[in-house]
Amino acid sequence: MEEGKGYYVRFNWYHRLSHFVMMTTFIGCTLTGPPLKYSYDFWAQTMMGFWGGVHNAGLIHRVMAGFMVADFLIHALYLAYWIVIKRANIFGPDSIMFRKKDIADLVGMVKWFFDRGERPKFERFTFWEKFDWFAVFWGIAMIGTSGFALWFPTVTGQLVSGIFLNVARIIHGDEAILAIGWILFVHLYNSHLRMNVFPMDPVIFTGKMPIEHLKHDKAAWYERLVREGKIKPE
Amino acid sequence: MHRRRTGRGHPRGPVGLLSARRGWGLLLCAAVLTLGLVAPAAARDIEGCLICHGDPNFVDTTPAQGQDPSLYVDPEMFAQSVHAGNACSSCHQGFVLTIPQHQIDASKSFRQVAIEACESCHPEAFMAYQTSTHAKVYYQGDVGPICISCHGSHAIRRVRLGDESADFKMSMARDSCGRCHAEKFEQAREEFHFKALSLGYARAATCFDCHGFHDNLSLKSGEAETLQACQKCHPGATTGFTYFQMHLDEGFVNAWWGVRVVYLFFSTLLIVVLVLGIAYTTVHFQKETRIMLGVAGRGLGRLFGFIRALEDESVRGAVDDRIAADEESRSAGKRADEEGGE
Repeated sequence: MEEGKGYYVRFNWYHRLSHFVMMTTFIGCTLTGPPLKYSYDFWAQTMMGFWGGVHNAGLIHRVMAGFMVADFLIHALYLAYWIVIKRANIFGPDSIMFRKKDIADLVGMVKWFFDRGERPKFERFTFWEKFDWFAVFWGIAMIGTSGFALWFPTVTGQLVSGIFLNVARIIHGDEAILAIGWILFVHLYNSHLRMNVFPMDPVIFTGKMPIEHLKHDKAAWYERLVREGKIKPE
Repeated sequence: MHRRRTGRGHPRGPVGLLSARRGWGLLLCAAVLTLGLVAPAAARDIEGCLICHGDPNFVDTTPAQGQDPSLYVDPEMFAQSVHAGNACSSCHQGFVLTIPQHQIDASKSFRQVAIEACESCHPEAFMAYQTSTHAKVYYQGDVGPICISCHGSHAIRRVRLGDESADFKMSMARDSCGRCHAEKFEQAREEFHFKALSLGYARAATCFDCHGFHDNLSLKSGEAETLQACQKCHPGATTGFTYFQMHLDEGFVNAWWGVRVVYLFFSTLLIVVLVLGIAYTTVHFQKETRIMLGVAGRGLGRLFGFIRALEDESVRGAVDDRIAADEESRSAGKRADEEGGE
């Protein structure tokens, strides 16, 4: 963590690369998968035509999925490094793990929505950022596993039973729609349309957070950084 | 089948006629005869029949029960069909061409004539059909599907086996198999094979790729016959693989309970999580809109405050005032700068 000129480096190169890979592979899968799920809808033919047919779209979908899972596994190693070797405090304020404060923050946020209190002072990760991060674990576990089951159907038939292909199709499709819906309506709102970040919060791509912005958006973290002498108070 | 051998111009007359020059002449005559008489026999037959049957309004005034009264044959469709080179009479056998009413051999039903006509050129397909449930129904009471029920009659398409187009596979499933097995088709089209097929992926299996096109196997999970059908495209398939269900209802009502549980759990999860997420985002949005417009909500106005705020004349007036004041102060600052510059 270094001190910048009027900004604070919140994400290092690995964080940024990891998000970038997750984002691009997610978009890749989102654009190639649904035309097959909704193949009888009017737009599916056009969208599939854009990729040059089912075969190509399937190929892109699998390559993207491969990179996404690789990104996920590398992140798991990164976590293991921090927890096992660096002995990081999992429940500390710098951790992305849920804490009691997150519940208080959620309640505080809802109170603020209805003019019943001040906006909560957030720490390094807000509860919605934590939720998005955890959702990736659930998503990869559900969509990834079912995706591999469908990718290698004969192996699925051999290991368990062919009926799990029916199950895998349900899980893969439903969870994908959930993920796409969540990204569109919640994640993109929080990172693009919120008053504090409109039209876009570029911190996940630049890594740099202006201290002025940090002070407003994550007041508790700002106060801690000032206390720890990591940034100069404004 | 109907092209007779024409003896390549070899006359059976006196040998003396066969001088070298005459030989060529005769050959030419024979060629003309071949082209002019024998080969177009089919064409002339068709033309003759189409005088009446090529008229779209040509109908049977006394149709049999349940019979389509139209006697029309679309000449263009027939010309494009795989049987375009055949004469009408090569399939429509056993009647005497009296006009206006043809004399029909009453000892055979129409369906029997039809099935025999197909058999005369396609004996192998017919043998395979004999083993099917379709044939069983037919032989029990002259009902049920025969060749033309699935293939149609005058517009049979030209298809290379194993190289059918996705469009052909889809339309056979929908219009031929699906005409009687509508429910099975509706169920199967929700699975990936038909979805891929509908998007033009010709390698995906249609009904007949698994069930066979003439023997029409019923295919149950765990049976050797089913495994063989799967292995045509999935060579690594084992018996466990055959427990995949191709024909499940919408909502998985007819599925194993495990599938129903998974379906219910994940669709509920999908709805609950998205509804909560969108609700949270919406109330967040209304708060921030109210802050930006500078209005406080009261009562329900807290929830729908942003709509009211946007509708409210006085609020819009206030926003306009604020923008005007902002511009005023900016231009005042500019003026001050200019004055300072002087």
